[in-house]
Amino acid sequence: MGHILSWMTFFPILGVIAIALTPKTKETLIKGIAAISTAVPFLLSFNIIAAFDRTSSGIQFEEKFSWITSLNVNYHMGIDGISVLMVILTALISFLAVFASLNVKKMVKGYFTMYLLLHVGMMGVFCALDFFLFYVFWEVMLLPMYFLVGIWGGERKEYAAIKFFLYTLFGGALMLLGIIALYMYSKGPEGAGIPTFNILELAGRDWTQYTINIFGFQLPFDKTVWWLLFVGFAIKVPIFPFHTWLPWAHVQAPTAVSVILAGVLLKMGVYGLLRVNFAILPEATKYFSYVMVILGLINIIYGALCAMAQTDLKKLVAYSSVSHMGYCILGIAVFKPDAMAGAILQMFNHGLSAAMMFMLVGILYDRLHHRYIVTPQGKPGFGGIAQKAPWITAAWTVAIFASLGLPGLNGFISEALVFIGAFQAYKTETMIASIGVVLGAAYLLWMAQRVFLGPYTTLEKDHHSGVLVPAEHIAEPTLREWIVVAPLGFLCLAIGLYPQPMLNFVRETIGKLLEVYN
Amino acid sequence: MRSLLGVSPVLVLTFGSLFILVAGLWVRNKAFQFWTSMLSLLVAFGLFLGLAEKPAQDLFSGMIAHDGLATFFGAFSVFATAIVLVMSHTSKEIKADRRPEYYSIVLALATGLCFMASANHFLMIYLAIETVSILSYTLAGFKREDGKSVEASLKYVVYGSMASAIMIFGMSLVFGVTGQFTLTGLREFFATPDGASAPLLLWVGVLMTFAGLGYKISAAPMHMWTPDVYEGAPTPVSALLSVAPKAAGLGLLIRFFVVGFGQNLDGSELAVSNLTDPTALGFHVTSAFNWTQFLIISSAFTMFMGNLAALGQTSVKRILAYSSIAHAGYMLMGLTTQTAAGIEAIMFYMVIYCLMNVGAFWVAGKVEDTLGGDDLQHFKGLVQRRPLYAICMAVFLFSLTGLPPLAGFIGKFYLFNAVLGREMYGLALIAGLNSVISLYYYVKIAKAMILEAPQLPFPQGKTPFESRSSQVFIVLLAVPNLILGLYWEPLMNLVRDMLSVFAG
Repeated sequence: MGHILSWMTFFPILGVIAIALTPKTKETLIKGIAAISTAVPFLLSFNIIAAFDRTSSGIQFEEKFSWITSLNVNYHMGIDGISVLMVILTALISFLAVFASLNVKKMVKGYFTMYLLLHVGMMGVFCALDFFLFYVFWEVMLLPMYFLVGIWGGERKEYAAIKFFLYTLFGGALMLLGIIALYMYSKGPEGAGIPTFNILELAGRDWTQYTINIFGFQLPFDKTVWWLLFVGFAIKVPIFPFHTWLPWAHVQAPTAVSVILAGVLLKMGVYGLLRVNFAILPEATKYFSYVMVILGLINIIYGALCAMAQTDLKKLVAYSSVSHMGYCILGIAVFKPDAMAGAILQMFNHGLSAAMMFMLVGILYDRLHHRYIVTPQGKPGFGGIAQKAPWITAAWTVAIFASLGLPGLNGFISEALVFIGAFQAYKTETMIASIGVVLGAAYLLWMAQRVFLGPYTTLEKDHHSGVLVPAEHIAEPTLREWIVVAPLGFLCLAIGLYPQPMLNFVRETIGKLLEVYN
Repeated sequence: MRSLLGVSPVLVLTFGSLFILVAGLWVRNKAFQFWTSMLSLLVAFGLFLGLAEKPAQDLFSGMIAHDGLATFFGAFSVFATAIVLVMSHTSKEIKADRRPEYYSIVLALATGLCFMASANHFLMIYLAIETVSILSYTLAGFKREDGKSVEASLKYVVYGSMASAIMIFGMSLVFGVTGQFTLTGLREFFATPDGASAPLLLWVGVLMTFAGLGYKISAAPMHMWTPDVYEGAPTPVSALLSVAPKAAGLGLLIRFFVVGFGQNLDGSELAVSNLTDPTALGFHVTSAFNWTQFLIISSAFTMFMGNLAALGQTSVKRILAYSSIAHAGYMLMGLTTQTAAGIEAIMFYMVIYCLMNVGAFWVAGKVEDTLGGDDLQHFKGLVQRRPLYAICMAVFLFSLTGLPPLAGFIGKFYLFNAVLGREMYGLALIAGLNSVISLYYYVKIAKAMILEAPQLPFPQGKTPFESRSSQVFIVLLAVPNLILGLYWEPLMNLVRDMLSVFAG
């Protein structure tokens, strides 16, 4: 089957059209269309798993044709070892999150239109190899995300949505300048060549020979552009100090959108760093690698400490994402094959475990209508859930242990690989980072203890009065909820026991990417 | 005769304007008035297309020029006027008994715009600008029973006369120093030894002339009239003023700099054919006056002024007014680069800006017609009541922000491209920051429409939203914003062709 990446990216557009033509009262039909539109990319991703050549470090499933000739912009899609896992993850999470969205009641038609547009943007970012195309996909995500959080979110949804929007657009504007600067200078030192947006061609050029002038300061070209691009990606990761949009967006977003945010969107930042900063500007990346190590450390420790201080269950999970993305940054910044493989696997693993946790938070919220670990009055909001709902507790346990890195579950493998690689390069820093693991265990286990164990003290918010009253019972997950949770839990376990197939995807590409670094 | 043929589109417009004025005395049929005006605009547009192929030449012994720039901006002004005419036709703000006069004035305004786009002589520049200005004053006060409209008109007159006075004083200074009245003559003057050592007085005069032109495109600090006028004037008039005079003004500004002060970037004399090379062009730089720096400051100041002032507004028309100031700043960036790439980018942006800005005003006008106001509260919950309009408005707003895959992004991309092509990283950073600031107030409107619940009671029965022609046209404005965002090469090629006719 040709053009598989285009089909995976643009098939949901057909769904958008179909939904637009469906009357808005036929909600079941709309949901069905959305499920089919995401199921097709999901099924096609099995084709990619089967056909992807693990022994090649090059671009596969490549598609290329001219789009805007006068600017030398091409429609250029393709994946390699870095993006293949992300493409699979996007297809998987987007498909599962449709089931997490089936209980949406408000403006169903609008919701699934936005959802499918978001899918197009996410998939496109991981497949695009033309910088212009990449940027278009990158920004295409903003609008659906804004509306998904802003319309279907929680109490402070509007603030959260605009905060996300402004942060990301700011990063996007800087990135655009970086992209155009690279484009301009790709003409070569004499300015005689044809400028190009091709990410693969831009890599491997000597960018250190140029200097540029900003407000009268002579700055080296590659380092300046590196920062323009880095800030754009760092906001998405998010790297401290650009992370403040994340707790808001995660907490206020509806469950399915939190799942996608944690599962896919955060990975775009790290992916962008690898695809662009690492591949195109290796000199500057080497120069600033220690900055990234330190930022990664801050993310790990600071994110964990913040998570520990939260009394809102969803916010705790959100800060745990900040902490876990820190391992990815640390892993890529040390230029060791093990650490890099660990970082990419960590992106995938975090995509599974964080998505699962957000889904589980949503499950609790749907039943109890609050998320207070400790209520504003200082009383415990949850407690002893294990007594009433053992299956929910079991699913939570898998997610928690996957997230804190218990051997046998996926988080352990990727974190261990990151530490093995990082220790070769930075001993002290790696030891400090390992404190993050302890802190991670601390806040997650403490949360588990307060929420699931101990005497039964769980409260629920009364529908009418909005007062917290003791909850009589907690229903076990429905089939719809199991459809989301069970595959994620299974994959967490499977990758934890046998990670080799995942690592096979990335090995060759990492080797090629790191050639210039060692 | 050759000259008359060159201005035939303007003659058609003049005839149409007078015809409607007279015919309106007897024929009170709305449709007749509308279609006659439309016909004259269409014929004028067709004549522009027919004339586009003719090589560049001077008409009326150098008073006006016929070239690609004049054709492009003239045709564009007629095009924008035609869109606004449809908008006026469906608007309630223009009273039926005043329509003949309204159409007549709008057509006369279009003649002024065409002359602005082609004026090559200081006297002609002044006359064209005055024609446009005086008619704009009248149009701004067209709702004469509404205090705000009258206020808008008066403010416009006061600012406008001041700007004209400054400009004509500046022109007299330029004439005094150079003894030249035409732009072509001005450039010849710079080639002489006198030109190389021109006194500072000349640059004072040029600066004052620039102030007059800047007033037309509402560049800061000559922008003060914009929000009051756009808010008070009938919405179709605001839409017209925000696009057509701005385009003609920019066209004139480009001509003013390129023809009057053209000089290659390396200082040698400008060969006009160089215009086809996107990197080669420049304006006269003397020790006394650094155009680049001046334009950078002017453009950055305009962007900041428009965007920051828009943040606190609650009237949508005022927000759009400040946004139009900011967009003037973006477009001035193109001039700042002093390259053909920059001028191309301005022309390209202008077309897209017309589509998105008129569209936004269109929706604002419908809301005002229906709910009696254009505050954010009137927009609340629009998506639940009239989803078509709300979605189109969202497209216009996000296109104005410059988000891909909408056309506004492509326009900005070319501007950024031109700016970075001249290595003006600081200016590009400022413009990028401004795009982010602008998002906030555009989203404020989108938020009111889409995220919030309706607040005011919606009138029962048939509202202006239901007008079939209005629905069709709003879609016709929104769809190109999507299409041009994905495939814009034909439009860019058209712009390049026009610029090469300008170069001759």
